[in-house]
Amino acid sequence: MALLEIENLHATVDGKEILKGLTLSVPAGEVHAIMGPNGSGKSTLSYVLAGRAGYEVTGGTARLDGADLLAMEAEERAREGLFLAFQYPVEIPGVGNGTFLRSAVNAVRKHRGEEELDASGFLKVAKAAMQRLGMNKDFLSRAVNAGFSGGEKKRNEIFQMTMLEPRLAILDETDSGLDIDALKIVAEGVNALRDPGRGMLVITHYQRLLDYIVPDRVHVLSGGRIIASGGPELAARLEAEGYATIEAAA
Amino acid sequence: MNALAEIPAEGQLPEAFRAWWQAARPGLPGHDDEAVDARRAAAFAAADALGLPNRRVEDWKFTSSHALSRLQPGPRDAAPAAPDWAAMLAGWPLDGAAVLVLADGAVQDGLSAGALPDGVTVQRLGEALPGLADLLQPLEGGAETTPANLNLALAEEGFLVDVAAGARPDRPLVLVHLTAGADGAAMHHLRHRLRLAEDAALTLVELHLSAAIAAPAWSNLLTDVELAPGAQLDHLRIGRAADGDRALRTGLLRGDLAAGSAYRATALALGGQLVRDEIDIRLSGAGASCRLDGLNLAAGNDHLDSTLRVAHEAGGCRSDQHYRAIADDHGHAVFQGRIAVAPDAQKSDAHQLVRALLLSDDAVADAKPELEILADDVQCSHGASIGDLDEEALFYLQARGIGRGAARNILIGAFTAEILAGIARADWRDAAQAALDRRLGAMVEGKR
Repeated sequence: MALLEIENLHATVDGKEILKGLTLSVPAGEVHAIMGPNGSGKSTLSYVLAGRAGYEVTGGTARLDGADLLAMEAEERAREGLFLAFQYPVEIPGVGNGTFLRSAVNAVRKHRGEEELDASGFLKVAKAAMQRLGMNKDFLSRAVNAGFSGGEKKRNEIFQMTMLEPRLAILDETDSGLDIDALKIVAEGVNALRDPGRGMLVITHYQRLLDYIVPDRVHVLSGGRIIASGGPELAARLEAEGYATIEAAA
Repeated sequence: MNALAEIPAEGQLPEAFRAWWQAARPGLPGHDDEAVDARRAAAFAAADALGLPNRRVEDWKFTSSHALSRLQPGPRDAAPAAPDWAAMLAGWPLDGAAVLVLADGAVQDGLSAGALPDGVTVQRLGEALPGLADLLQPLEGGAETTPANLNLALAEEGFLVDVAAGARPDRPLVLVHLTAGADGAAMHHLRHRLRLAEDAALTLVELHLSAAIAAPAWSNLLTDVELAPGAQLDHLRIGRAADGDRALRTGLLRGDLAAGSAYRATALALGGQLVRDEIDIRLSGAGASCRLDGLNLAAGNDHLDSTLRVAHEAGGCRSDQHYRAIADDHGHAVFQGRIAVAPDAQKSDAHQLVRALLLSDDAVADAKPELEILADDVQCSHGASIGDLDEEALFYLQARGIGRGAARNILIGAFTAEILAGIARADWRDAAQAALDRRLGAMVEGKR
């Protein structure tokens, strides 16, 4: 069984069906891209997998390493190794980045039966990761995402991902709002986390991000279902021909 | 002298209050002084003519004085045993401070400690003759003045603190008020005055701690703060009720700020069946400033009311009001904040921000801002928000593996952080944080 197995997933938001029988599998060690036009269900898929309230699953299954994701609370999914890099990271004034991330890292470590990190142990690991991502030292003492630029927010997501070492990372439109320099740094951060034991699902509207994070497989999401799958060349075809051609052929 | 002849036979106050006044009057400080006694009688008459404020009195719209009107102020047959007063002081950073302790309204010399800092003198209310009558001038106005006028009539104890010109002691002065109802009295009226002479500076900490008491006990304060030009007062007030106690606490603080003086206050109320905290600041000299911060934590059936009035009477003054409240269970938090800018108080800078966090469906928060701006060259802002915890933020924390309970605690802590950060002294900031954390911990514990 693949790392992530989604079968015939149906989900509604406010009573409206958005996912209409989505099937997808991502094996460990692979990066899969999901591309689709606005309204195709891309963000719904990421929120349903992460366990956000207000997204009701009406049918189908989603398993991470064989475990039933949909039966777990959001925090349990994270502890089991699912990580969602948010399209719109939330600003939390008054909560320091360092405090927040250490709580998160230790919640995950505890779940894995590992020893929790003390303040200095955490700082050591965090500083090394921040340096790799070209982040300022004052970052840990700033409030979570509060007053951050778009680039800083996305970099913070990748930083958290680096610290939490997930089994499956879902990147929801991580390229949106980034200039080319920020995009490169974020992509480098993601590529550094590619690992035979880890799977990634890169959700994007444009091909641009996939020039920097080259996927093993590309899927086209339309009308709440995967309508086409292929290699990286599918992304280039989409960019050249648009979604309409492929939707018509499906 | 015939006291009964001086006031109408029928007044608006409950009969028990009138009986209490008759019984207490001969024992009050300054009773032998005709001017003092006349002032007290006038204050009582004013209170009795108007009665306790009901909800139709605009200033008491959100807070009921019902618990006060039901008090039976006469001595009780069976008062609870006095608690271990010293134990109630444990955990506060009193080492090195000058500490004055009042327990059930009486000065506890045995618990008071630390020499007064250089330049600071303290008199007890009863030692203030001549001049005591000046401290008992009745307030004019409607029924909202009744608690203060009752204080002036019945003021039995209090501290008159003076700080000499230019004195700026490092050590704080700590006034501790302990309430247990152990003396059998149902009410205590305390009258304090702080005067800082030119360019003096002081840190004053006020603690109001109550033991778990079964019968209602009312503690009613009236405090005057007078700051001479250039003086600076840092004033931290922490009120903490015990679980299930029935202490009632009302207070009025009047501040008169001369040119270039600064008053910085943080008020922290951790529970209480009825807490009504009024602050009335006059910025009477050019360039004076006040910063009023507060945090109210209302759980169970707590009712916590902060009512602030700031009057810009001179030009170039600055005022900031920043209050936050957390209400859980059936808790009720009230904020009323008035800013008045006089016609010639140009270049005034006045700001007010109030936020309330509701953690249960039955919790209530009221916020009433009032701005009366009569000058044209001013900067004023105000904002109020009442809501529950941000679901987006909760999900973000949960999506990183943090459990929902822990995520709630993180967000509640963040909500309080900005107010706590305003406490200048690190030892008292830490102590306030610890007291707050214990209270929040108990709230969370109750949910399990």
